[in-house]
Amino acid sequence: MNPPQLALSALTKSFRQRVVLDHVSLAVEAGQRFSIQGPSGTGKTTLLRIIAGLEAADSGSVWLAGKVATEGAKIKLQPWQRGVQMVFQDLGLWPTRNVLQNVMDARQAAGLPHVKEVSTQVLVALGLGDFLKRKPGKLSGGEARRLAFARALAMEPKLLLLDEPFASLDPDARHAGFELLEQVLDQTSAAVILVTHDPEEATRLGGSQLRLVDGVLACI
Amino acid sequence: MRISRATLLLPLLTLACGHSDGMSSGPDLVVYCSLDQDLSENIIAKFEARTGFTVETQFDVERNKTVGLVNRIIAEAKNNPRADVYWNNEIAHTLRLKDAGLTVAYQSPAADGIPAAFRDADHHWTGFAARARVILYRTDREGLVPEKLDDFLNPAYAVGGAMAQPLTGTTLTNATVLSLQRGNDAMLSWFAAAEAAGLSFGAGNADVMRRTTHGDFLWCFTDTDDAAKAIAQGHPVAVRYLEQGDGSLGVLLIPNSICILNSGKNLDAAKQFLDYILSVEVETQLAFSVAQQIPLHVGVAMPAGVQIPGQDYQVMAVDWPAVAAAISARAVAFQEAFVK
Amino acid sequence: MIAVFHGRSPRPWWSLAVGLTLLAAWLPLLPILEPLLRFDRLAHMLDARTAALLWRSTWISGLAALLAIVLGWPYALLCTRFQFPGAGLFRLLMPLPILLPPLMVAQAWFGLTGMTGPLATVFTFGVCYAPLPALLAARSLHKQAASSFESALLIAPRLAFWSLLRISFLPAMIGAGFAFLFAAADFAVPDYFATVGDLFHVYAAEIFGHSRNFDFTAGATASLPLVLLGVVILLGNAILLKRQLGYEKNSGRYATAISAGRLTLPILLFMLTIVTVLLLAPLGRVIFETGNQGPLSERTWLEVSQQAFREGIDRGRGDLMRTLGFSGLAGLLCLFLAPLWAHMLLHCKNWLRLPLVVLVSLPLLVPSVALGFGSILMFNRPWLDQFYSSSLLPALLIAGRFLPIAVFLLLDAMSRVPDSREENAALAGCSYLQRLFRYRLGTQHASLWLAAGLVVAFGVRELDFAILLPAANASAAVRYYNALHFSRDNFVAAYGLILILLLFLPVMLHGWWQSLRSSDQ
Repeated sequence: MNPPQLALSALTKSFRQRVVLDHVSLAVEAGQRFSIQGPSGTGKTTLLRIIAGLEAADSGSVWLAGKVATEGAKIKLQPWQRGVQMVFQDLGLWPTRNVLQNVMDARQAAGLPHVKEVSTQVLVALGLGDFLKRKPGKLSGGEARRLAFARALAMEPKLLLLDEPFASLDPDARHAGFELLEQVLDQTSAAVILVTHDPEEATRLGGSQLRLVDGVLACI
Repeated sequence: MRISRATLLLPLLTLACGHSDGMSSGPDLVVYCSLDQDLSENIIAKFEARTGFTVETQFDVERNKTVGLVNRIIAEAKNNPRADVYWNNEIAHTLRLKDAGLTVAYQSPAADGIPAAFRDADHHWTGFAARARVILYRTDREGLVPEKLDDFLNPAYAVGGAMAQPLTGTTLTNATVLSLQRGNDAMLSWFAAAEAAGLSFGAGNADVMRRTTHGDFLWCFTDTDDAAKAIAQGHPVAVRYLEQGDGSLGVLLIPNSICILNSGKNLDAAKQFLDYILSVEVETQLAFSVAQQIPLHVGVAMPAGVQIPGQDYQVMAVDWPAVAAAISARAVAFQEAFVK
Repeated sequence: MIAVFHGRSPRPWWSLAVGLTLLAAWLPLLPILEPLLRFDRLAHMLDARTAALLWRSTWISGLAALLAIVLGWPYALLCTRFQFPGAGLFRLLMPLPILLPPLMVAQAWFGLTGMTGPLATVFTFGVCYAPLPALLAARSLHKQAASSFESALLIAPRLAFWSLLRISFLPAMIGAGFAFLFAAADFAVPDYFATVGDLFHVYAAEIFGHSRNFDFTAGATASLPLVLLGVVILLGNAILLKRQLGYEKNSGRYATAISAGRLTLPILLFMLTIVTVLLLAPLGRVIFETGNQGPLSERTWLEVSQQAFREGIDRGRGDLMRTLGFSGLAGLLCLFLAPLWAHMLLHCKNWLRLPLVVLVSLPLLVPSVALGFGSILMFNRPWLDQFYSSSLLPALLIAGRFLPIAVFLLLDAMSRVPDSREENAALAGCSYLQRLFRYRLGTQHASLWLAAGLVVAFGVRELDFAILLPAANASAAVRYYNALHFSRDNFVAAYGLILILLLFLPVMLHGWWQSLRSSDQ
């Protein structure tokens, strides 16, 4: 039997005596989808960052495909060794590189094949074919969001972390965002964890819905 | 930020509007001084102590070669002349001020003992406490040290030697004097020949002196005040006077010079200041300073080992008004020849 | 009248800023504007001789700017974004080399290595101005969006490193542009290296040569090619800044420092090398110079050094205090003027921005000796005697001359703050000054103090104003250069060190305070 794509074991994290993750445990199989809801400031983003290896925990461990990735305060697998991609709330695009370069740079640096072909293909699929030479600063909010998804998808991740990707969007843009998400999910077999405080988003993602309150992760 | 915080600046600005050195009613005398600040400020302080006058002194800096104070006097004279006295550490630019009509005649009784060659016939300026243009050479090294100016053109001498470019200060004055004797084109050719012979050119007298003390050169052509400092600092160097012997040109002496300017404000104080600066006492003080400036009054005491002009070595005769008339044009010619 | 300034409209304050700048910088420009803009003489100025001088100045300054980037950029990168022992101290030390007078650095390096000639000039300027690219790059690295860096880190460390380079490249270039400007206008350093080694000249020598002329406005005329070059550099910097700001829209967290891990020792050694080159070696040599004597001297190093420091304090204390007084006042004026100018440039109409940038920059580009003569011709009037003799005049001139640097820094800092902060304050009925200083600049105090600090540092070094203006004459610069010219090497070294210490202290204290604050937050 294959180990789970992601396993969290008794993960704990505090900031200045405020416990944001209190012995959180979770197992995510390949291709499985989870949404984590909860009010602002409860540690949802911190959880994703610990999974991605961008932050250490205080105690507990993170396992990725059977390998220990984080053990307490020690990061055993560096972020780039984890096969994890994340779409950040503020997207994290590279402002000095154009749309195509944002995706190509990523694939090239990861040593993935057919850099230009696959990058162009993903961008065209997400409706950015006309903006390949444009810098991120010149894109609309929706286009920039598409680019962030395209870059994550082009990396062929095993685990995709989505940190409130549609926060602060108006209803129309949010609707377009859902459609984009569905489009993205059609194109990937990665396990997906979506952090949101919008129940509708969680429902549209499908899969299991969890809630993080007072550092404790529970099923809804 | 509240506006009251921004307005904290106002008292500061008001404070700053006060006079530069706290003289609420203005100074009794304004002196512009191009002599080394370290040498002159004590002398001026003594004058203040004796007379009770407050003197505002403005100093010059040779390093940036702007001839700052002379041009400042000329610029200020356009609308509101400020300076009462100009104490120059050389002479040609003082004569420029006379030619521009900015000086006032005053025959100081203290100048009586100074040879006529260093005094203006119309009493607009007086020379005192001079520097001589000399060779400073290392005593710990073998080699040929010039005895005549034209030795500079001989590679046997020139390769070990250096002098400042004739762009400013006493070197410019010296080059102007020589160009009047030899002609401008001949002087430019002379410099070119010296350079071709291997003579090095530096930016200033103090700098070539310093390089000589560091051992870069066997000798340099500089002023006696720089030479005196090198000896005082303990370097193995000595002084040689050029152009000595029958029919020779003699050594160029460049005196300090002082004049009263036409500010029209503090004429009495200015006259008293001139009487004091031109006194034997001040010349003696400058002679015993680190710069060992050469007194022009006859019979003034000198530090041991310092030679007396006219007695121990021959002095060059100079037509100073002609030098002053020529110096600006010569400076431009030398600038074009050297700055490239 | 006061009520106008209490109001919410920025216009009275902008008018005040323009008025003060008019007084400080543009009025003294008027008498030299005509000689400065004698374009018909440009052809004559670019004959073979002067073209060669200009070319030499250009390549010396260009290489110096390049060296400033090579030294400053990696320094900023490593101490801003990597965690290793002493990183905080290296950050504190980053601005200090800019406070060392370039001539002192030149003397120190000549004393240490015997280097001379144009390449020694390049090295000195590169070392002196390395903090400019370093400080600007450090700020953009400090403000890089965490997500931008981390999304690269999720892919490959090389990519993350590239993201650091890319985000800080343009600011480093902007800093290098300023380094070029300062290097091209400097006369003392090339003059020094020409003196101690083989003779060579730069274009600044041509300007000084003409300033000695009876017609002292000829210096302004001669400076035209350098002024034009300066305008090109500043406009280039403005374009780079606009482009960079487009890259730095960041609504999220700022990226944190990365553990140096196995690279700790090499990074530490590299940083120590750079700090030694920029700071410790020149300072060490200057300390040595305080007691250095000829071989026949019978006094010990310590005796000579102690006497030099005693003389420095006894003779130069008053001058030092006056210099800090008018330079400090200039810094204070810029604390007030620069935010207003930067804000005005941020909000003015597009067509107006370029002329305003040129106008505010012109006093920096003309030689200060020309500006000094301009102020004599403008302000030396019987009815302005008190003002002409006061410390306010040098303070105003220094503020006016170096204002563009402060404005540029603050324009950069303000542009990083979302408009919404200020707009919210406007909706809440805050006055204009509250909006500007509390909400637009509230998080940018480091930039504000850096801007004022640079004005003070450049003011302290300013020599030509000091010779020409009554209240500035009894200043540290005049005493320093006088002693230098008359070969009082021990005094010069000791006095320079005292001056540097007085400049270092507030910068170090401010940096330390900043680091304490940021560790608290």
